[in-house]
Amino acid sequence: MNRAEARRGAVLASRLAVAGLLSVAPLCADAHLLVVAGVGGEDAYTDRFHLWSTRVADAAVAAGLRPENVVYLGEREDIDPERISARSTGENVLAEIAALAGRSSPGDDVWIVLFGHGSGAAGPPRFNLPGRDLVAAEYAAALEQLPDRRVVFINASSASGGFVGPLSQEGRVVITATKSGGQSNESLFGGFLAEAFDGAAGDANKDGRTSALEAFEFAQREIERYYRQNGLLRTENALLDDDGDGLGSSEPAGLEASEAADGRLASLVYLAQEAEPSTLTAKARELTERRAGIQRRIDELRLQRETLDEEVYLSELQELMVELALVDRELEEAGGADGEPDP
Amino acid sequence: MISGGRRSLAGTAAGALVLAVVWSVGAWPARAQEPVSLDEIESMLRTGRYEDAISRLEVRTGAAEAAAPRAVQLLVEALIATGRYDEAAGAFEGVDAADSGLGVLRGRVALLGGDREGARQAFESARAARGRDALVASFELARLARDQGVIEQATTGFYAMIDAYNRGAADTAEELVAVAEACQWLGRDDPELFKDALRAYDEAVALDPSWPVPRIRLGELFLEKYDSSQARTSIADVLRTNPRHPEALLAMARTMRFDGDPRAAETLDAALDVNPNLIAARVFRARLRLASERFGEAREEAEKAIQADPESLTARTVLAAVEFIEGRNEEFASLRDGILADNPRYADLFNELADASVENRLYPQARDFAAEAVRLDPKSWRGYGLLGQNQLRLGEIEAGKGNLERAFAGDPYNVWIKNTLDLVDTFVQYRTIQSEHFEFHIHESEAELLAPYVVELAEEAWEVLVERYRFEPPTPVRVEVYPSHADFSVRTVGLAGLGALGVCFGPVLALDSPSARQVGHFNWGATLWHELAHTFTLLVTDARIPRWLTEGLSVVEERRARPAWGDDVQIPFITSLRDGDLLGIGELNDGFMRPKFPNQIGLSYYQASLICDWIEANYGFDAVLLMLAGYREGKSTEEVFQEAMALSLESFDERFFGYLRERFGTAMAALYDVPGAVGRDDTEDEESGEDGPSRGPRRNLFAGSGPDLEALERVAKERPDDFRVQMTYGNALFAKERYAEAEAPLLRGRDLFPEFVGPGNAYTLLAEIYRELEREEEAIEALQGLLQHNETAWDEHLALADLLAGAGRSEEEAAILERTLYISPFDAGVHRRLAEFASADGRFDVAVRERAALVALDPPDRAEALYRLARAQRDAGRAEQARRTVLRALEVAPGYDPAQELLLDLVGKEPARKGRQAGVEGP
Repeated sequence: MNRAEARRGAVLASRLAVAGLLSVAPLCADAHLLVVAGVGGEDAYTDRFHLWSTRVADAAVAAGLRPENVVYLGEREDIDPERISARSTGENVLAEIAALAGRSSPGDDVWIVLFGHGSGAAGPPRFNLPGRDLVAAEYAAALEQLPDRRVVFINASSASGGFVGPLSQEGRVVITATKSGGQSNESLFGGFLAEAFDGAAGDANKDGRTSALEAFEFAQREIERYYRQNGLLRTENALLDDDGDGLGSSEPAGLEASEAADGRLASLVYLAQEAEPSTLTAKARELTERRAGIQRRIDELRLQRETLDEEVYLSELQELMVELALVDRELEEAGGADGEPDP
Repeated sequence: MISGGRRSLAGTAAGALVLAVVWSVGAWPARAQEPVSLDEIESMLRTGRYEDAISRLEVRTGAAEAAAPRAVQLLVEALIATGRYDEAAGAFEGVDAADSGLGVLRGRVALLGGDREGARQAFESARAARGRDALVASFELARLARDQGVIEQATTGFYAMIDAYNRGAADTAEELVAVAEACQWLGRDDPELFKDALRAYDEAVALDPSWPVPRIRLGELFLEKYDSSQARTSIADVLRTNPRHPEALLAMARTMRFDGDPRAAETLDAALDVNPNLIAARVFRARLRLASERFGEAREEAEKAIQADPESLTARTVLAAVEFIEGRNEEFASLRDGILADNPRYADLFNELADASVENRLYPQARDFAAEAVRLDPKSWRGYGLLGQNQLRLGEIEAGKGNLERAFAGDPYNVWIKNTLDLVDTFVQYRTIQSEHFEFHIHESEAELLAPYVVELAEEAWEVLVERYRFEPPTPVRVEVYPSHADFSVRTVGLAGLGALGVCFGPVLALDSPSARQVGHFNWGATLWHELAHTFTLLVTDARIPRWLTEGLSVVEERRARPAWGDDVQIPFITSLRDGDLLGIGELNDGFMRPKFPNQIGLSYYQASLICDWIEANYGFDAVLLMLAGYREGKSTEEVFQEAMALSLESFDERFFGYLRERFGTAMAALYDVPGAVGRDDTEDEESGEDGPSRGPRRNLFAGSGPDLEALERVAKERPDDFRVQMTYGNALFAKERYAEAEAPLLRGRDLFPEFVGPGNAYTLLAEIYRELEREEEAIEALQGLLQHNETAWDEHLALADLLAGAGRSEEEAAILERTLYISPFDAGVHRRLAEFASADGRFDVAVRERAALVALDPPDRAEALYRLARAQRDAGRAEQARRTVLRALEVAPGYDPAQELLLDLVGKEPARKGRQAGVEGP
């Protein structure tokens, strides 16, 4: 086990404590993923959506999700019969969401990720599926079957912006590739999102996992870079909503925001399976608690950054970072989850 | 303020007079003429058949019986249009102008001849006669008062026109034009009146659609407000009916000049062909000559205008400008004092002097003249605008902004001022960076990335240029870098759409950021060096340097700075040389200021640079310095050449063109004129800039539809020494992926014209062929050949770097990658490679620069980028910077192991342990 892995449980514990969300999402909650590739229309798009879907599905398994918790509905099952559970018809999508309700428990994380084409300039916002499309309201109704779960709903299709309003709810993260139904040009957001989860690319804070917020910020940044470097006019502006106000944000603040704002919940939800805290040794648990305390002080200090003299800020930050680094060393030496758990 | 709606049409003079005039056949000596009506003659007049109209009317008015007033009017108008002012005055003999309703016309004829007192009497008589032109006579009297500086009287007179309109007393097109012109003048007190002026012009057009004057005035008003598109539309309407209307031609020439349309000169010539005594056209031509630094011709034009009207304020003003620019201070002062004696409130004297100074790059003088203009007339919004613009050009930002705001408050329809103020408002988004000799202003979105490179290059250039020119400009020099080309354009000329890449006002220079241009079309480093060289040559000569010399030296300095920088030879240059179409030294400024075709500017830059090269090669750089000193002292080019090289301009041309023919002999011989589509060098679509170097064609001249391959093969065999044929054949084979066959014609093309590096060039294609055929060493050689001349080819730079990497020639690879930074510093891969090279070679400061660039590029993995920067800083011995940077990395990722270890190491907690450094970086 490497140091990052050893620390994973401790990091999550400390972050949840800081966020005051521990009661909502207990440690060792299960994580589930449903990936849906919509209708491509052309082979090139079908292949592309399949590629993105498999990248996310494989990344989830690599991050510890049980394979049975990962379901991929594809446009054509024959493309990849081993991975694709069933065809991505509207009926199958709704059935799979219903199945998720049965398979998951309160407190679990449920990720639903759509890759494909969408529309929304005329009529209700919809995601294009083989056969009948499902509109945003139908997804919203289906998600009602998942109370007390932390749902991350990502619609990475073109013209997906119209999904934010209907699906927005407290305790739910909604991400769309565009800001409106009118942005109907081909969207590349999904590709960068898949890249964020696949490997360490999206793991900005180097804690060994990629949160919904990290993935969103990675994809946003890369989209901006892509359009700028290629001298193109940008035709997609992704949104993230997780404060339930129905208004997505293109620059969610994350945990650092002093007031409730988009990004706070998304920074705490990872496409990963958490370690069982019961496997930690007593020493590791003690260190974990210390680490959480230091992390809390770091976060508090960062909130004061604008008001503090820079030298004072840096001096205090350095003190805390040194302390944290030393605890992390100890945590590693204590063996993290590798040691024999104390009774 | 005008109020009330459109009035019903009253009968006009033109509409009322429908009597046919039957001409005596015997009275026409030359040939028999069909009898024509005055309406038909008026139609001749309005379609530009002035001579026809005159010949028919002269007979009539010359007859014993009293001439019909309308016939006299038409004759006089035709004579005025053709500049025969004396004859026009003579046409009134025996005519009681005032009683005939021709008093205004008579007064105007007197004015054209410079007889102001006669004009005043005629206008007063017309007003007293209360005839049909009485109202316009009142307007003319107000205008006379204005021109004599009696502003209060003029203002009263102009307001009277508005009263007349509101009373419904202005009901002819001519009266409405008078109302409109009054509103235009009074707009200086109340800008809303500009709208009323538009309305009155529109009403005049509606009332008499065939009368051209309101459309011309409307066009002039639009142009005054920098709306050349509407100006052009309005004036073009007139020229469609009467392509010989001198005033319309003049107005169109002004519009074209504003738009940078090279047809401006010929349009102006056309106006003067019809009316050689059109004073405004002579004055405009003098201004153009002055801007082209053809001072003798400018003087000649101004004197012709003065000859036509010795009291003309505008003509004397332009002559004063010539005297000033030429440094004849006594003559200048005498003219200035004379003008002010005639009109003590004539702010436009100083406004024109300011404009002329700007065109000759004398920005401090322009600022001072504009200040004098507003002192003379506190409502000269044009003066405030010029003052503000020139203060901005000199880096006096706050003062400039204040004056522009005054100008805009007084004239809110001025697009230039509005655009500039909008731009100045964005200056808060720019970060100011100080270095030893410069003050840089770079947009906050890219300052972190660009600043280190811009500062480094500018300071390097400073050191080089100070030594070379033995002169140190006052510091700091202000450098503005614009991420939006439109903003750069507004900063330069007040409007979007400028083709240039950079501009130098002396102590202030501005240029496009690399983000403002498509990658591969621009080298910001070369542009910065070019503009900074201007700072030296402008300031060392007090801006009394010809345009060709300052541009030529700037290009030479580019070439000396880095391989491939500076303009390259283009096919049109060779064909122009071959055909004797290049300009001699005496006319070279015209190639910049009055280009006859779009690419002439680019050719002139290149030619000017070769002239400077040639002088330095044959006479040493001291000769150049001697020339600069001569120009500073106000000497002419003839004197300067004689003094520095003992050459007349003619002998210089002879020797220089001899050198060019020798140097480019092979290429000239290889550029046959081939009929048809083979290698056609259509240069009309090439980019060119009024104030910056053209960087050559963007389109492959040898690609596209042409003869089929078999035909090309045949021609290529027949014409082995024809560059275009060989290149077209090679390109065609390449396009068909017949690489092995394409090699020979491309090699032949390369050898015939080795300096050709435009699209479709032999080097790029040969490199691709060699890569395809796995002949990497030859591919390297081909690309190196290209990059000896081409400083913007992004893809080829990277391709060469990759080939060199593959060949293990890392030092050369690093050198090529360094060069790409001046094309675009936005490629993370380039910075990463450079950082790794630098670290490996122990060049830690360079490693820090490159790692800082990677951080500035806002990478997805910010924590790692910061950590690596911190390591580079530590390696460079900058422990304190490293400590701060690693803390920034940990802010992003508090548990990032390598950063934690580095921090512990930096604060002396424990030595870093093995295995705690970040791994190999991703692509």
